[in-house]
Amino acid sequence: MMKKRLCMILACLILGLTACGQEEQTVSGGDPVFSAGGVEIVIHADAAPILEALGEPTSYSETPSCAGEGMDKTYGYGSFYLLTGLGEDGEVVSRLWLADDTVATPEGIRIGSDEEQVEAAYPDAACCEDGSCSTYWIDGATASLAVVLEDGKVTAIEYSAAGQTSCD
Amino acid sequence: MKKLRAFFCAVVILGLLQALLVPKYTGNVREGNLIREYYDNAGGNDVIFIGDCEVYENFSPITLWQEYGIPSYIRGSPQQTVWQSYYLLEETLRYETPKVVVFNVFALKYDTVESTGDQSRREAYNRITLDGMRWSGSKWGAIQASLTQEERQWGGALTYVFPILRYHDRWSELTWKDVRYLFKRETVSDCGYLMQTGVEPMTDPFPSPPLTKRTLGDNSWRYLDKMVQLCRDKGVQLVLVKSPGLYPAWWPEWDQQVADYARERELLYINMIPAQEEIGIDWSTDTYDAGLHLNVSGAEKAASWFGRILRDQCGLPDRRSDPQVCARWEEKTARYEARKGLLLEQGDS
Repeated sequence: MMKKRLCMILACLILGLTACGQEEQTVSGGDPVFSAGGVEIVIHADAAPILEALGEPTSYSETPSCAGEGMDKTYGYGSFYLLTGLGEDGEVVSRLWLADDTVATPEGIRIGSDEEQVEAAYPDAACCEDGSCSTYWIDGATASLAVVLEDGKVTAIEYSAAGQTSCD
Repeated sequence: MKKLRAFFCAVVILGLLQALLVPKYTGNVREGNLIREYYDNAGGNDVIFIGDCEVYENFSPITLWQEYGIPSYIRGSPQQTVWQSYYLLEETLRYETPKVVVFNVFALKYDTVESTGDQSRREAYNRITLDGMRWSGSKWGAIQASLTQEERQWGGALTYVFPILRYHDRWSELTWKDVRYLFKRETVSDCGYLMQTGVEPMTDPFPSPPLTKRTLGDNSWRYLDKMVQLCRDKGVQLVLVKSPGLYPAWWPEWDQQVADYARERELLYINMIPAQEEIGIDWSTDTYDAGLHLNVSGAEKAASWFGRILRDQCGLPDRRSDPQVCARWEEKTARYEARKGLLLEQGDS
């Protein structure tokens, strides 16, 4: 009798544990978006349809992730680079950065824009470093946009996962 | 009495199930065994390396022994964060008091759990480091510091206490290896060094994302401060090192901050990137992944160069005249050479 009860308890426990899966990660609204070639690119998005829409990259390189789980792939499109990694459900966009001033964010900021333009385009941006603001952070729920300035001009623009900013 | 026996049986059965279901890291991700392998090698080390893949792939402790008679061990794991390094150091110093601790500073770029990138991958890296630690206050501290936001929301800390809660759905992935390595796993490292014998030359430099954070974060500094204090309390010399590598970038702005920090606290900081030519690293032969990490040939060169610093600037003695230490390290050296021969042979065939 005791053995039966024990077996039943264990079976219930294992079935119960097996039933509880982890939540699927989805792309959240409100995240910064980059647009190129008629396709909207958001960090954490499934990479396959984006890569297909963007067409053949002008450069490509891949590096193994630290513990050999998948590859980090960098696709170059001349004016911007797209970095993808292995997510829970396959290849996802993990970073995107602009390489020259021929492309701009949907809000009109490009490499070479000045600080006033950045503040006008992103009035809610956080400025995390001491003294003059050298990086403006535009945070969404799961992704961030960093606009880096030097001598009052934008020198770099990067989209990445949220949590890069140290102003928390 | 019967109830007690039933309870005991349930605990044993659940324990066995857990041992069966947890990953054994026998495939591509051998790194999952690195942290646990230390406990069989604890004690008698003059140097402990702590850090991420830039230590467990870029330094060969056997070379340090062969050329300088310095016994050492690497407590490294993939994308090991500075808070994990701190707790691993705290734990290690309970097992032994080395003369020198070498910490690879690359991890300082990650200031928060979120800043390490994709959080599902972060969780996997956490597992690789934390599941291998033996139970102690240090492990609990490391868990608390490492949880992702999602894990915090649903009480994920409990899954580190009872890993069966995390791995219960591995039923369908079980293989004969899960049974074979139920109680004892194969040793994958040589004193914490994970050997790679392949060669994949660096061709074009990887495109590097821009520098968006010029200042290393407060949380990183806080944990480094704690490491400094811990070493001072135990009379251990802390050496900061930036391992050789071409990618990901170690920015001059970060390098300067670490150099300033070290100078203010009278710590030795060695950036090996500018010394790569002097070390003799040839990126067409000494890397197995096109410039990210060194292969065994590169790791031996790096250890050979760094050993001179440990001997000359840290005053570490040559232990090769001690017969007991010597006997132990002869065994380790033989295993290392056998592994190297086997891997090279497999690579050639």
